[in-house]
Amino acid sequence: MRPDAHTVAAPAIAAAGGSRARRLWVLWRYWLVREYKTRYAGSALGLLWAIIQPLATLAIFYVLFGKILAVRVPGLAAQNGYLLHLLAGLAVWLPFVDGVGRGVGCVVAYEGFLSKQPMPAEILPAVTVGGTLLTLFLGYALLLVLCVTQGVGPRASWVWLPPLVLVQLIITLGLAMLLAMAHFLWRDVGAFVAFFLQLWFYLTPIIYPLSQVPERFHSWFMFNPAACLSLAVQHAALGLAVPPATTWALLAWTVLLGGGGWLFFRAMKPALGEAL
Amino acid sequence: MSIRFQQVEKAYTVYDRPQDRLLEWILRRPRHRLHKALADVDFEVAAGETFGLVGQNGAGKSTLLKIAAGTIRPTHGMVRREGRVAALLELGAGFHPDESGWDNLRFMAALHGLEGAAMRAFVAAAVDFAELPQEALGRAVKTYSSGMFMRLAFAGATAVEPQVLIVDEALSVGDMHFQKKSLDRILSLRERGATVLFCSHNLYQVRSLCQRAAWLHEGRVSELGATEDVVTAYEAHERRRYVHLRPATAPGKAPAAAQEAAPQADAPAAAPVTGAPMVKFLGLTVETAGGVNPGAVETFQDMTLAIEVEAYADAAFHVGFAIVRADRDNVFGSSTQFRDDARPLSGPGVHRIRVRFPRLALLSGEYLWNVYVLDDSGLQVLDMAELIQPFTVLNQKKRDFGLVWLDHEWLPLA
Repeated sequence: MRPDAHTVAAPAIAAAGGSRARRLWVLWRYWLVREYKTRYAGSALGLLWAIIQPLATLAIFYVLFGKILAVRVPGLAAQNGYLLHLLAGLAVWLPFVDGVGRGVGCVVAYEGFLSKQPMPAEILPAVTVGGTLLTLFLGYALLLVLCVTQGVGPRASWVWLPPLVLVQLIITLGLAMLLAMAHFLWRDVGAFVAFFLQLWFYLTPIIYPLSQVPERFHSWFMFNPAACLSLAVQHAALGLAVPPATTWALLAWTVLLGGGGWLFFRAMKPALGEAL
Repeated sequence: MSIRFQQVEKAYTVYDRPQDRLLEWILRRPRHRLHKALADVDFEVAAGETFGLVGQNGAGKSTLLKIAAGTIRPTHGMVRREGRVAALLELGAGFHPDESGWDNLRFMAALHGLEGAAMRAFVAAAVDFAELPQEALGRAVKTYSSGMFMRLAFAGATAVEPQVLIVDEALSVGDMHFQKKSLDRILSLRERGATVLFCSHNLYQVRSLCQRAAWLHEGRVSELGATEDVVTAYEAHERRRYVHLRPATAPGKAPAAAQEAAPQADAPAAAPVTGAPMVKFLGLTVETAGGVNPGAVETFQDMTLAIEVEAYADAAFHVGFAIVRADRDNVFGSSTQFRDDARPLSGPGVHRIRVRFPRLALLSGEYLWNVYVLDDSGLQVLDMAELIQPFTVLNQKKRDFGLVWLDHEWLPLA
């Protein structure tokens, strides 16, 4: 019963981690790097895809709607007004759809792991949303650079962009938590979300300016959190006029989705790791 | 450095259809059945103690271990954990198959909140223990053999020196060498004061390792206390349960399984031994005045038992045997480990162990042999053969009956 001679005594790694919050922070950052690595594992271009994909999307819509169909954005005094409008919309939409689309499956993917390894499940949607940060910052950076070269900025309303990014992250995280847990409980959710995200894109004023939509429909857009977000960004970055209710609607969505997603996740969490 | 269960109860909510959960949530009216996995579990695993859990499959052992580890929460009551906990519930559950061994170890370090130098120390310690070649560590984990995978997983799981160790039967995997190494690691952690809570079907292991044990039966603690008492009560229960399944005399080698315990039809073999054993059991002969392997042995005849084993390595080992009845009740068992000097055997080659029974005190009946080859700790079964070489004992001289002759004397009437 004595430990044998060929036991390798592993050096004691004393006091792992530190506080719980710090441990989570370390884990989140590590997991995020791992997420980026595995996402593009085996591809020749690797991380470059994170830049190529959004740029390609931008190019397609720009050529199709900006050049061929020649959509114009009233109230935007710039030569390439449509490009700026499109970019402001995509800077919001692409990270959002990436976070929600991937977020749906994030809990199910680690179902087995959660039942064997004590770990806060909240980290899974948090990592997914963290995975959209690269696209997010690239989009905003490109938007601001183009604004300056097109003579639309810099403007004072840009100070609203950082809080808007924060709001976007809260909404994305809340929705990802809500849908990830819902998908874990009812696998229908994943199938529905995949289809609905396509429709959602066209319900959001990204490839078309809101001013091209008849006035009487404008209030309907307040029921679309993604529309509220992109309108707010278009307003702050480009100075476009938006319905006055946008700010309040956005605030309401932030509380509703951020808080609701979190509460729903917490409420249903006991079901995790309990599959019989 | 302890685990305290306080009135722990666990009920799983079972929904017949997935939409029932949705309807219940909306209508606020219960639409589920409750499956009670645990009730009234209340005990403490004290600091430095090794505590065993026994019970049939489905008795709630795994649920209790998961609650102890914190992967699920009790429905009522609570569990208090003190100290750094490592749970070996399922090794390698969090491994990413496409990532290399290195990356997976780093991920496990991150799970403990380690980074920088601490992460490197963690990985170095795990690599040192896993004994995998550098080339293998650079490969994706999905290309590993199951043995290599287990080495990596176990090394990663115990690289942070745990103060509390929760072990499900995770150790009956991998090759012999590594099984032994993992067991030794747990023993050495225990010697350094770690608290161990573990569950095993191998009652021999429970007996040898644990100071106290609990027998879980249908979600409740049926017996709790000193290991021997608990395990004996459990064995007695199991025997009653299987009394109608008395196996017919089954000569030949039973499949290698480290199951010295009572038969458990629904229990998986505790240790599917993989890889070549370091010591192999070759054969067993019985010799009496009636010749070698006589058809019948007479009560009070002298009998000599000879067991032949072949060792392929230098490692030390013990040989044990038992005379058993067809229902697996042990009549008598012993081991080289139980000798006064407890000296193990060692050295490659064929070893022949002989035991003489002067005036064999067995009475009439059918008996069989169990033979075990164990490692030097006496915990790991290297090779075994159960219910082999049946022999008959005939009690022709006396009319006393039973299993064995007990010395006795008739006292004069008072």
